[in-house]
Amino acid sequence: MMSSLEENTADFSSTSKDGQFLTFLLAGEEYGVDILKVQEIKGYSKTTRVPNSPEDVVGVLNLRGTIVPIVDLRRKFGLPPGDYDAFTAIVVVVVQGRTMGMIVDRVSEVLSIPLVDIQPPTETKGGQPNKYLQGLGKVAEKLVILLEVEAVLLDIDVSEIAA
Amino acid sequence: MNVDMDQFLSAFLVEAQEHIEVFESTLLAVEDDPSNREQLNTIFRCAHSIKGGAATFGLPGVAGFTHHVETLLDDIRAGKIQLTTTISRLLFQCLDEIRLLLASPNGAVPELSDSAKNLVSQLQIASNYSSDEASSVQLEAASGLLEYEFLFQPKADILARGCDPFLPLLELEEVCTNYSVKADTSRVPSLEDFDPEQCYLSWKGQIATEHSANEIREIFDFVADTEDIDLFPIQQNVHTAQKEVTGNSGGSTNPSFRPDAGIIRVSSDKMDRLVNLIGELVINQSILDAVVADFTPNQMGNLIDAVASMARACRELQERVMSIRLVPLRQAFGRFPRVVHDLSNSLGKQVELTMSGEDTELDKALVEAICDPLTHLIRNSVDHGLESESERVATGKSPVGHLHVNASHEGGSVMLEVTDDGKGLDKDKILAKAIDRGLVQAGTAMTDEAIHALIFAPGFSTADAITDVSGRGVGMDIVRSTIDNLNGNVSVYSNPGQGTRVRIRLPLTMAILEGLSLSIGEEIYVLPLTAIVESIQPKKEDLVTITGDEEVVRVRGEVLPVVRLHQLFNSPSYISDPSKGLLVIVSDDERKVALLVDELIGQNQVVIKSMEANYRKVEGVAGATILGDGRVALILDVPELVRCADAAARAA
Repeated sequence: MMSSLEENTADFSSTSKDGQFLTFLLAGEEYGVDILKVQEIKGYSKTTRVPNSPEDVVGVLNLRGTIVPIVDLRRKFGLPPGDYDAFTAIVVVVVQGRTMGMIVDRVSEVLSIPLVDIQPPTETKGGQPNKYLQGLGKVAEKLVILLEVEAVLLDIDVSEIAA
Repeated sequence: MNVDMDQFLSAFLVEAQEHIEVFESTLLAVEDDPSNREQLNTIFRCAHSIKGGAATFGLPGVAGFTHHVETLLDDIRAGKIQLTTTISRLLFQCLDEIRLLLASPNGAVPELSDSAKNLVSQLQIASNYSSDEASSVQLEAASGLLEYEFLFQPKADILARGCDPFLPLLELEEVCTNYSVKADTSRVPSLEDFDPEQCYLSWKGQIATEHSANEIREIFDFVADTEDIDLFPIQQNVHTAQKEVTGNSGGSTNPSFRPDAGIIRVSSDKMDRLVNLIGELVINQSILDAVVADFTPNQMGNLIDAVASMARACRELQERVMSIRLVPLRQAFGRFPRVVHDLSNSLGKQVELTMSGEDTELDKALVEAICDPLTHLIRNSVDHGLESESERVATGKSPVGHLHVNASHEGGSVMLEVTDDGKGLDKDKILAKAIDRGLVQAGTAMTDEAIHALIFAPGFSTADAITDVSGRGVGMDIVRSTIDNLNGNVSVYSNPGQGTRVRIRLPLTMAILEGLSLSIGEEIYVLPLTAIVESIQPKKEDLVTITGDEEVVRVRGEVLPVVRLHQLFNSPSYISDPSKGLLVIVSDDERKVALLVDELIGQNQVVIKSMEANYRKVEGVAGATILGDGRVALILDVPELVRCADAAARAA
């Protein structure tokens, strides 16, 4: 009785300081995005190309009657192109009221990472911290690259609209 | 409790808006015919309803201000004050103030803003000034004690509607000097038939009061409809009251003063969801069609039947829902008389506005969206189009400028026209300005139409010719881009000295479109059927390349620019030889271009989905739709494609 109560309190206090992330693989690295931004995960299906779009926007998809733009994260990050296979997934996120999809190699798990274990982005060679990064999460032995999903997906739009 | 109140508040705001509109249109009518008592009564009732509602729903600012307006209106109605131009102008200002108060948080605070206080003091001056002069006859009528017999027979559902039938009776007792009432219990059924939520009672009584019949009726306004109250004057000396009663009943049957006639109050949210549902249905139908396309022959008959009935049901449902969305243009037209009235007054011009086709129905969203561009066109006509009185007389025209707004159905679209009999567009001035702005090369030969169309070009502003009246931020280019966004188009016709006509063509609805699907390589695009003129397979000798890269095609003597869609869209695979592919000739009502595509697939109804909602505007693309197999196809934006071709031709 007593022990379970303690456990509960411990749980409660730890979750309040944790970040919950959906993690996925991209060219062998593990990435994570804030789970609260994720609407759903669906398997890859062929998209419709949109003319005169940035290269990383591979097209649009019908998501239950809504037209959703799809960004290939490999192209976005300048990684070598990969084949779309049975594991390829589309992570559908909602950023600033827009529903958008990201193509990833495969989805792995949902992780709770205590905030103390998240290292803020360090400065890169340009002297600026990478704006796509929220930080690096240390989980056991591995490092998870935590993405600022708004920056990743909206700079396409923001810069395009401004242009 | 708070949440509930908010819900009612929004309903009240909608209602108040309607009252304001009726107030405004009636006031405009009264200006022409000040003796019409019924119209004054209508105005008074509007103010009264706004006041009452505002007080109930926690907007004391609105209620307080409207009370002053009501006081003045009451004096006008009683004939104590003449409705002069000054007073009607004051009332218009008050109306604008009420609008402001309703829209702003100020409406919820009892203290009045400075502008409202200013108006209140003007209202009070107007009331006092005239009441001193009130004629003795009217005073006599006002002080006379009137006796009525009344029968208050509320509808059975009055309790279900949350109203207390006793409240007006109690209020009645307060305003009457002599009051006797008896409840009629004859309709109360036996206990087993008795429904506690129904009201079986009615009341009959006699009253003597200083108030008019209308004022007595107003006491019952909030709980019952007019027909629930019968009020009979029981003495001959109540001549005026009798007139009011008959006047009142006459007014309620007069359709032009029924504010809610023809207004459907459905929340737009619900409406949009319905439209989505229809979209789903239409998609399902296409899916069924796709299944039928490659099915085993023996079950074909059944399946086709199923599809046919599905299609029929689908159509019907679609039409029904669409008809809910269609609203008469009256809503948009309603504000034009006021616009013209104010503007012509401030410019010192005499303008007669006529309107026709207000009953033409159009998608609600379109009606709302078209309101601002139309208002702008009207302002433009009054300001620039119509000459000053002296100029008109000098050119032998009637001193009163005429402005006509018309709406009509034409094919699958709605035509809106704003016509004035003013001086027309000055071609030379427009051309000079366009050359000055670098929009056109000096010495370019241009048709009249092309020159007139220049006024819609972005960056074209006749700023030095424009007074501050029209320069209110909506340029003609905004008018055109708004209309383009609605899948419509706009053109202008003008005869020097005789006037200008602007025509706007709009689709009936924005949600569903009759489309022709076509392919370029493996990609499928949809063209709106209304934009297609014809499609041809050109012979080699009809195709000509001018100056190296500009292609044209000759179609029965007409020379049209060719737009290679695959080039514009950077398609990965395509037919590049026009004589092997197809040319689809499309028109935006003014110009035609030939689009090179691989082949045509077929005609179908498509549901328009927004690209902007989650992504952005794509050049040459009006939106997207979902095909039978669930894939997305892009819908081509014909006016934009035509403009692209034009720009390319000009650059070449």
